[in-house]
Amino acid sequence: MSTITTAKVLLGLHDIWKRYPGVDALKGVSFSARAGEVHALLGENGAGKSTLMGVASGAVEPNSGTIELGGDPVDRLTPALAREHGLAIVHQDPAVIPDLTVAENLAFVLPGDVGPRARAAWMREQLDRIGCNVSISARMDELSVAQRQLIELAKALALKPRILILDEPTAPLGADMVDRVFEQVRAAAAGDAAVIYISHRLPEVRQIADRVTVMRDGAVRGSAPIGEISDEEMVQLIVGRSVETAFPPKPELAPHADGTAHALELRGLSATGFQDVSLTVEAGEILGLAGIAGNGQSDVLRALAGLERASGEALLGAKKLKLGSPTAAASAGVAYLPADRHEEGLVMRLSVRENAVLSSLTRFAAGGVMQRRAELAAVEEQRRQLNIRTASTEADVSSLSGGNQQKVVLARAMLTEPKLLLADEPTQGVDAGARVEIYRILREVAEQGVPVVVVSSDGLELEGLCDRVIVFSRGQTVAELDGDEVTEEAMARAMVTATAHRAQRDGGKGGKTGAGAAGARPTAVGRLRSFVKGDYAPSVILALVIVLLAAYTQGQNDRFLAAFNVSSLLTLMTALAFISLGQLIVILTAGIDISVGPLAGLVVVISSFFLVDGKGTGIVILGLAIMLATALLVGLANGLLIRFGKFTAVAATLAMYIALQGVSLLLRPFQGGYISDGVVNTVTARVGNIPVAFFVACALAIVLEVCLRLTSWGRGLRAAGSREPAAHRLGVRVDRTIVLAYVSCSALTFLGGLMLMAQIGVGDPTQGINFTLSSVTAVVLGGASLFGGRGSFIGALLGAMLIQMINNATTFLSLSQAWQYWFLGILTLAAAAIYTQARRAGQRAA
Amino acid sequence: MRLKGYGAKLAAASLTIVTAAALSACGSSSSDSGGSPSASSSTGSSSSGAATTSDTSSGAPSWCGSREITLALADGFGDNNWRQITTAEARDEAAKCPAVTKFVYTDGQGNTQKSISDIQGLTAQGVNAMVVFPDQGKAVLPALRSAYRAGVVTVPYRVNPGGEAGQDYDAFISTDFSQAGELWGRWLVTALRGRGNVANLGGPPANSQSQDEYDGMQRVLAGYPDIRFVGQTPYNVTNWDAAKTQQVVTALLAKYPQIDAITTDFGSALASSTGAFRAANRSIPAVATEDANELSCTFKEEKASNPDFQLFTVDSQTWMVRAAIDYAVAKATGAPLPPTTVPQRPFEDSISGKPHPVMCDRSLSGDAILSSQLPKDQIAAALK
Repeated sequence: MSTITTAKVLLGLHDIWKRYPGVDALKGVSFSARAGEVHALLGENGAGKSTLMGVASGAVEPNSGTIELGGDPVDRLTPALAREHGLAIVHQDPAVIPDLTVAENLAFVLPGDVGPRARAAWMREQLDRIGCNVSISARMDELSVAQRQLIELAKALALKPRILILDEPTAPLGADMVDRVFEQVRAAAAGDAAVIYISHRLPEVRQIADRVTVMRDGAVRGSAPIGEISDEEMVQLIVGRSVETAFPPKPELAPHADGTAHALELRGLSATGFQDVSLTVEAGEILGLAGIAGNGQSDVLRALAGLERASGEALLGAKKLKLGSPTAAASAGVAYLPADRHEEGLVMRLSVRENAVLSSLTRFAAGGVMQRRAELAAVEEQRRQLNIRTASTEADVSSLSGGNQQKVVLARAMLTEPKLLLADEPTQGVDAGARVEIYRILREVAEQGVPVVVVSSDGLELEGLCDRVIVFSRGQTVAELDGDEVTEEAMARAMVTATAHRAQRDGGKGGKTGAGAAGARPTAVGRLRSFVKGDYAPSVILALVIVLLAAYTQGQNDRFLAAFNVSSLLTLMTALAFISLGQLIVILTAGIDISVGPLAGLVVVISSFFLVDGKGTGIVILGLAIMLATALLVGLANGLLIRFGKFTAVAATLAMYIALQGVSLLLRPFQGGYISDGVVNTVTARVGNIPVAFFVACALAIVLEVCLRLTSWGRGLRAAGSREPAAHRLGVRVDRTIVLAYVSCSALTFLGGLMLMAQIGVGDPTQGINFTLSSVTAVVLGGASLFGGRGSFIGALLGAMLIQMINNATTFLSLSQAWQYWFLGILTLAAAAIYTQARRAGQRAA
Repeated sequence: MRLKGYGAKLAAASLTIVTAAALSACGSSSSDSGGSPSASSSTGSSSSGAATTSDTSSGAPSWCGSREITLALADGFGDNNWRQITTAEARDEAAKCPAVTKFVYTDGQGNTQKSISDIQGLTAQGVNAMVVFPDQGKAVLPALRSAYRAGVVTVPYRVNPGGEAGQDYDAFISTDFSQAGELWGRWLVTALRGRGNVANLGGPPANSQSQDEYDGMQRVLAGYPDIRFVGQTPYNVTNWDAAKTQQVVTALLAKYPQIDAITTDFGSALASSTGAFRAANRSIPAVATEDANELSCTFKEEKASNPDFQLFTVDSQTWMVRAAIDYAVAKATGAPLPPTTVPQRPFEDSISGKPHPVMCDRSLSGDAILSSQLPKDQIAAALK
């Protein structure tokens, strides 16, 4: 293999430094990838591999060092420039947009020379090549993780990359899929691409790599052709540390007496993330669960804490634990210290005391009232024992250091007098001093006879703390280390030499129900199901409701469909229709524009100074220009506040709502300024009985709908709303897309304002505000998701029409006053519930 | 413009009818029920506040012609006690005319788009006459005009929609709120014996009703320099909201050691503020307002412990809709047209007892409006 070293270097990184506050992530790293070579990059979590690949792909800017692409030095590498040089990267966490279909996701990498008719065939080919048999019209969020990973790979391979970076690409895949992926990786290398393969698994690396480089603590520790380095040497390079002596001594544990119950026993426990785990823990023992992050060990703790649905059996002493209920777990005496303290562990705005007693409120309550003295005494006792450094137990828990916050979580667990303690990454983000104390506390808890299970990604920590360690890989236990075997090296070896693959519960052949039907090639039933979950089901339902309502109302009163009413109904709905189309653009980006209502009102107020009787055409045009400019400025301000001022959409547009109302009131404290008849007649002009404005609204909706589905603008818009980070990686200019969305929304609101102007015919500072709520209602009725990423302009248009029709029909049907309120409310609730359920059904199955 | 929710009930309706008849341009001598204390006896010709003549030969009121019509009431907002009683009065009035074959009610829900849609929808379904409470004022003028031009008899009332009668609608049935102000002003002169501090409470900022009432008081009080307004003028803003009224009253009590009278166009809200006086250890002063059962009952309960408490109310005019209905029906059915203005009239006076002493009916809810022309059971039903 002498050719390897002489092949052209396609990616060269030299002496790269990257410093983050308090830590050097990369310390002078040099790395090169050559044409035709698969170069494996190994290292523990946090070794610097991902940062290095971030630098290589232009996502991370190094502090110093040089980068060469294709042999030429690059001054400042951006993701776009990297892509131009043929670099493709497959992240561990696939950059796919969940709300887009497979085809739409693949469209991001569609070569320019593939014509519209050849598209589907081209996409099919890309998927077939890596053995992915999903339908290209399936929505991404209906697919399994493995399928998504395959699509991500297909996307990268479709680019025919010259440099291909794969970050743990096989983690979610089954064995047969792994072989297929390896074939493709080899084929890419054979085509003279440089492949960088990041992995934790030595057997895989041996199978695929030509050369291996090991990183640790931000530096390269060694690099060699794969044939010249043993597994043992690689493990040494990966671990490379000695055990510190900060751990409490491990006691001699009495062996388990036969015939007695274990303190904790799992029998064939399975849940999302792990399968068929059986293990035991004895009283007084600290059991460690080791593994690369995400291999199921944390999920075991979550399942035991009742946070995930699980099957199998868990026995706490002789008692069977009820699975799937956090309350049942807590009352059985399971205390769980979550890894994410901030999200799950603490209520940051409550005091130390309040946080500490959250799980044991009943213990300190008599008849529902807290016994303050008992509570204070117990909390104070814990504070002393755990040495929580805080000025007072009444201080906000957010004011404490990470280590002391973790001790508060521990204190809470202790106050429940637990029978089982589960700790997920108990020392993450905790300073060295507090670590030692936390180790001491955990050991003390164990010595009181409470079984303790610890998950940690720090092998050293497990080595020092645990009596016994079980190693996880891909959701299965692969090794058990006891006594002297509990060393970081042994754990690392077990992790990296494991050959376990994910048990195939999905993907592959046939798949499961639901997801399988939606994901696999279409059948009649599958087609119906995917239609129900699709973007147009709401539109069809709305159209049906509109037709039924019209037919029923016409049956009650035959003037309903008479020319006067049809024309009046269509004129009235256009204002809402325009504004709803605008609102949808924003909602597709997972935002919301509350200011549309007052903006429509302000447009009318401004018009009442210019578009009035006795003004020349010039003044009218000037007025229209000012109205439009105001709207565009408002949209721009909304967008900039949200994207660059880091306001939430609700906060920014609510502030705008109030500001616009204020401006309207300043300009027109009282109603005044009648709009000239000429202007009103122009705006409400008709062809036959149909208002021209209605045609315009329909045409706009159709054009927007087509653009949403078929143009890169539409795809980018939905991608940005569906999953912003992924959209970013796919090259969508998210900031620009979203700011433009708010500007477009305001422009459409300007059109709505014109229609409102014709409706009310006078400047009025309080008009328009109802449009905020109505437009959101119309958009929701049209099937859009308020979480962004999906919706339909046709749906929004039909939603606006239905709202107007309901308002109109209630007068024809002589509904009671109460029903005039309830009709629309019930319908909206029903629509939201139905659409959400349909969507959730799709996701649950995946 | 919104109208607030008052509270009250009915008993003295027939007396108001007499007054109305006297003030109305018809000047007819209604022969029935005058002086009867019970409005339940006041049916047919007697109960309209504005037009009271009856056609004795057919039994139908004079404003009721022979052409059969569908009649609608398009309310801009329908969800408070005043509107509920008003709607019930409208139904009651329409029921008196056999030519009205159908009565349709729509609630604009305080939403301009719904209100406009209601007016247009009613036009489209071919109602012959429509009474409109144009809460949004001039903003519903185009809709009124379109109804008028489509040949519907269109009668806005109480809130001025701009435009012109005969061009944009048939007639605007109005009342002059400054008359209420004048009535309050004259009573204040008596109650305060020409000297004292008055705090005036009104609705939302820039509403014409509260402004007109203040102007009316000023016309009278200009001649009495020793009666002064304290706090904000023309009025302290309460948004016709009980909670806000309480805050305003508390602040006024803290700020002014002497307040001899309070004038307000929302009596019920003031009733819920009496605790503020107790807290400040001060007597409730003289109060001039619109009638509300809750306030009248408060007067009866608190009078003994609040020596300075006197009460004067003008009629809340829930029956004003009857004048609008009368006009719309007359125009559409081909009967002589009744007048288009409704007078403001005194209702209760704790000092003179005229036209009524303070009337509290504890068998009705605090929301009830006793100046209503509906029988008591109908008031109770309307407020359910």
